[in-house]
Amino acid sequence: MSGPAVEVTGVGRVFGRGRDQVVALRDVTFQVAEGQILGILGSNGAGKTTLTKILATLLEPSTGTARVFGHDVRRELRAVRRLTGVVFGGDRGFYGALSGRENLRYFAMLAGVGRRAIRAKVDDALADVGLAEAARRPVETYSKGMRQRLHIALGLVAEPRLLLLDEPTVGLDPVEAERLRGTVARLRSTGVSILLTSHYLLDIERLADRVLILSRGTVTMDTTAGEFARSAGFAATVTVRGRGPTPQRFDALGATAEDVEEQGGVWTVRLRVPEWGGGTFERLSAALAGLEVLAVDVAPVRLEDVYATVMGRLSADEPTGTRAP
Amino acid sequence: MTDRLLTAAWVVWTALRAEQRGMRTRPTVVVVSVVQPVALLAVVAGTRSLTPDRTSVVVSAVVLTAMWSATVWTAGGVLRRERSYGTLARSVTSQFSPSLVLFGRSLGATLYSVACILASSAAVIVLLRLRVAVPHPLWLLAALLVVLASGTALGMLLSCLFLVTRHGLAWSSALIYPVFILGGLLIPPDALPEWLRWVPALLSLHWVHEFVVGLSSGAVRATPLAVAVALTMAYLVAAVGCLRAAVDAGRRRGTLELV
Ligand SMILES: Nc1ncnc2c1ncn2[C@@H]1O[C@H](COP(=O)(O)OP(=O)(O)OP(=O)(O)O)[C@@H](O)[C@H]1O
Ligand SMILES: [Mg+2]
Repeated sequence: MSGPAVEVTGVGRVFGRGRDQVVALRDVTFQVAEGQILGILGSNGAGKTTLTKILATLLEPSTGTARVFGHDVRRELRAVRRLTGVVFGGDRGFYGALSGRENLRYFAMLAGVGRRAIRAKVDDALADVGLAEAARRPVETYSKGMRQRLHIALGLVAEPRLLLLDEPTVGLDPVEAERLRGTVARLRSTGVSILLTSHYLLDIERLADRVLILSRGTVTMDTTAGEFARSAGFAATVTVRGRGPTPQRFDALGATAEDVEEQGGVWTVRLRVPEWGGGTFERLSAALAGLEVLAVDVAPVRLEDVYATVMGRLSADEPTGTRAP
Repeated sequence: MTDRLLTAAWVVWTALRAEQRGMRTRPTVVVVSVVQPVALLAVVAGTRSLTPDRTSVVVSAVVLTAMWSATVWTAGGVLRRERSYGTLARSVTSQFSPSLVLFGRSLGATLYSVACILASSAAVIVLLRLRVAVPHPLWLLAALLVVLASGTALGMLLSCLFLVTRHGLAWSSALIYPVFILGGLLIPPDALPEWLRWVPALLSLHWVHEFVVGLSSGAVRATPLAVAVALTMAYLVAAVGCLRAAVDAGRRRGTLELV
């Protein structure tokens, strides 16, 4: 199969008219290669869900074109739907009086799972998300996490080639969230393409091949996961705790002290090390020589740091943004 | 071709069963399709001694009136409920035509309501020892089938209207009583003021009632039944068009709460 799984070109979406008009997406262009996971980040209201809805054929773009495996989301609705699974999550989206299995069976039928295969596929999907035992209970008795898992089963049951996951790990306990990440990774290995939005950077860190940042409806960054991690401008954070006079400079490391704290004669200094290479450890020792050091902690850059740095940079670039003086 | 037909039948069947399972737990269903016909029948039957053929006319009027309430509150509420459950998007943007899915759900609701109404009316007839004339059972059965089809089509149409007007609950309550009074079921149309007599003519259930009135006097007059069938077709066509337009507009404007 040639061509990208998702091809979005110049997509814009406007809601409302006149003074109530909201521009949710503006000239969004990107691609997802087949078998790739694209992670989409962006603050609340950035347009992530709107974009997901457009790809799921629930919403028409106001401008531009979007294609799923070459099928136009505006004109070839059924073809797009056949190839696409969607997980929006949330507490709603089911018939509360029906059991988990009845719900899944019904929606699997609507998603195009054939009559003969449906029983096996529904059972598989329930087992996949750990709901096999609760499958006979009415959904109104389910906990938030169980509903979320049922949403995920619903997205997977028709074995889509493109999976749209809008904040799939919301409400899951750590074990379940990890299990979901495992499922997503397994799906990718079978060639499924995935578009994943999440506010949990761990999801993006563990899964995404590429990262796209939406900011007020525009793409402000579209890059590989590795490139994204490097864009914070530092490789690791070193936290040093010690006694005596507080050191301000760590010239040997090429780093300056940030976040200096002092309490009862004990200081804590956080350093951002621009690069971590062969000689860094020796240089760190040299920089600490002569200080009364109590503890040293070295951590590679976390996606939270990258995200905070990138978003900080974006809002600083924003011409109309409100910024603290 | 046969496979597509089988699949369509399976979709309708699955939607029908899902709707009926949901109905088991809704109190409104009991109120409109059990309490209402029982109360109406008990009141009307108790007022004077009725001849068997008059009783059939009364039973027909009560059953059809209850049918109207049931259609407004159950089949007519299908899409409104889908919206409140958050299942609307999946139901109207599936691999199948939204009308096919809605048809299955509306048929499920209508069958369930008709079964409840007939069972509770029959119970009252037995308990009060009413004598009912059943002059042409086969024609009566045909009338029942038209009622089923009509209820389903009307339910689909009301469903779409309640969805697009966005105040479905208010409209449901507002529609019930005018039809009780003007629908030509409980109050004969010739008792209505001249300028309101067109109202019953638009209601297929009124024409079914006319047909049953004819039967009870021994005559099989097919015209009212044919009009009921024609109105049913018109409801169906309007519903399919309205649903398609609503879904398209929802996708364009983002107003249908498609999630
Ligand atoms: N149906 C709608 N009608 C009007 N405005 C809408 C509609 N849907 C979304 N919007 C607006 O579009 C913008 C983008 O919303 P969207 O839901 O896509 O954000 P998001 O990135 O998913 O945010 P979150 O992280 O909170 O989920 C918001 O300003 C929102 O108010
Ligand atoms: Mg969102």
